Amino acid sequence: MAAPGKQDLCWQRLLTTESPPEFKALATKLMVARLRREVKQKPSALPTATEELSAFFSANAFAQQELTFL
Amino acid sequence: MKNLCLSPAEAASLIRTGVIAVFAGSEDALRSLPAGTWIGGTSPYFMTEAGGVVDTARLFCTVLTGAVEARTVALTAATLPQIVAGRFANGFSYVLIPAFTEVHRTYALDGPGYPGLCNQPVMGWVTGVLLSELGSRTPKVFDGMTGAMHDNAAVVMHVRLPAGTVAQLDFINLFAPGTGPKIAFPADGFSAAACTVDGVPANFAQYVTDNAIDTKLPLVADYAGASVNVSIQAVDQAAGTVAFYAPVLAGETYRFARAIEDYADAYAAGAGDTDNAGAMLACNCILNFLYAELEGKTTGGFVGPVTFGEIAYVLLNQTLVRLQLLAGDATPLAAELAEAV
Repeated sequence: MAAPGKQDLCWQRLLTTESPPEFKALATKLMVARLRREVKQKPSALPTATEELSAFFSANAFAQQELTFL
Repeated sequence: MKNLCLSPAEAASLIRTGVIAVFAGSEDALRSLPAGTWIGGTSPYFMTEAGGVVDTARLFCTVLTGAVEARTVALTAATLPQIVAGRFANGFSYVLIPAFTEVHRTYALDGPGYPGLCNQPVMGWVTGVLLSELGSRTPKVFDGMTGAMHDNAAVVMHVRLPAGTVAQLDFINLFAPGTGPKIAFPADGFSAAACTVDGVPANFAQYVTDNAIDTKLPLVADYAGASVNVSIQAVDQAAGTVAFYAPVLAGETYRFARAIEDYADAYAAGAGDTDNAGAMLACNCILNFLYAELEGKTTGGFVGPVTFGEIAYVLLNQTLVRLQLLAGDATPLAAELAEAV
């Protein structure tokens, strides 16, 4: 499954939802956790965090395989 | 992977055959090795097939038999953001960092945000010394390709894997969050005074003392499904501070780990019965070695250095990190990115 574009609201939801999905790949868990923490600390970081998250999923097929949360 | 416990002479002979390898051992043993395609770090504690050992004479060696090429680089705290530069399109990076140094601190705090870090496995460990030599000797890392030894730089080996082979990195954590209060900290750091306990401001050292917390138990945070530990190094009641072996992070929620009745049994259960464990690249925390009293005991078939911090992309505590090679293809886009940075 190809990753949606960086403007897709799924990235924002993933970073701000109370109950995020659990991922299998350690790299994805660590990436999502770090960006969620950054947004929690500084809500104005959301645009750059969604961009970074989108880029991570776009770059990595192992992460795209877990895009079932969409 | 092929894991071996070798005398320095045996290790030197092996290096001269041209293998790609990672070594752990005492500073004296590592210093004696010839140049070659290897990196090494100081730790005289190993998990071997015969059990946990403390050995300043021999070296623990992992020959990266699945690798086709490797290159090394030494990075200081200032150049550490370049850690992903130079990695291969398909492969992984193995990093060794001396404990209690600026580069250790920088990697722990800033590493998780380095661009591209999570696009390809980064495994490694924090080097140490005999516990009886803490304060009198410093942990070291060695770059066998240049012959250099460092006590305030990381050494990274970028490893290229053949097409059709991919590296998979994960870790085993014995601990799960307990049912105690939620603990949060106002700032990132390897020590903390102020915290909140279920939202109420408190002094963390006082909280640990008043509640008779077993400091063998780490703080545990949930990283999107991964339980990540921060281990307690020391509680200074007079100063009101608690020191950690990895940083606590502002914005993260921690709980002390659920108590374990028998650490050794829990360790054996957690690390046990893994297929092919002895052929993996693994490292295990010195705190597991000490608290589970692993000297002389075998557990789960995992062998490797016992370390002062584990790295699976980020710095970890009280975990067993493992990397295995599997049949499969690297992500083309990730590969492209790896070449580009």
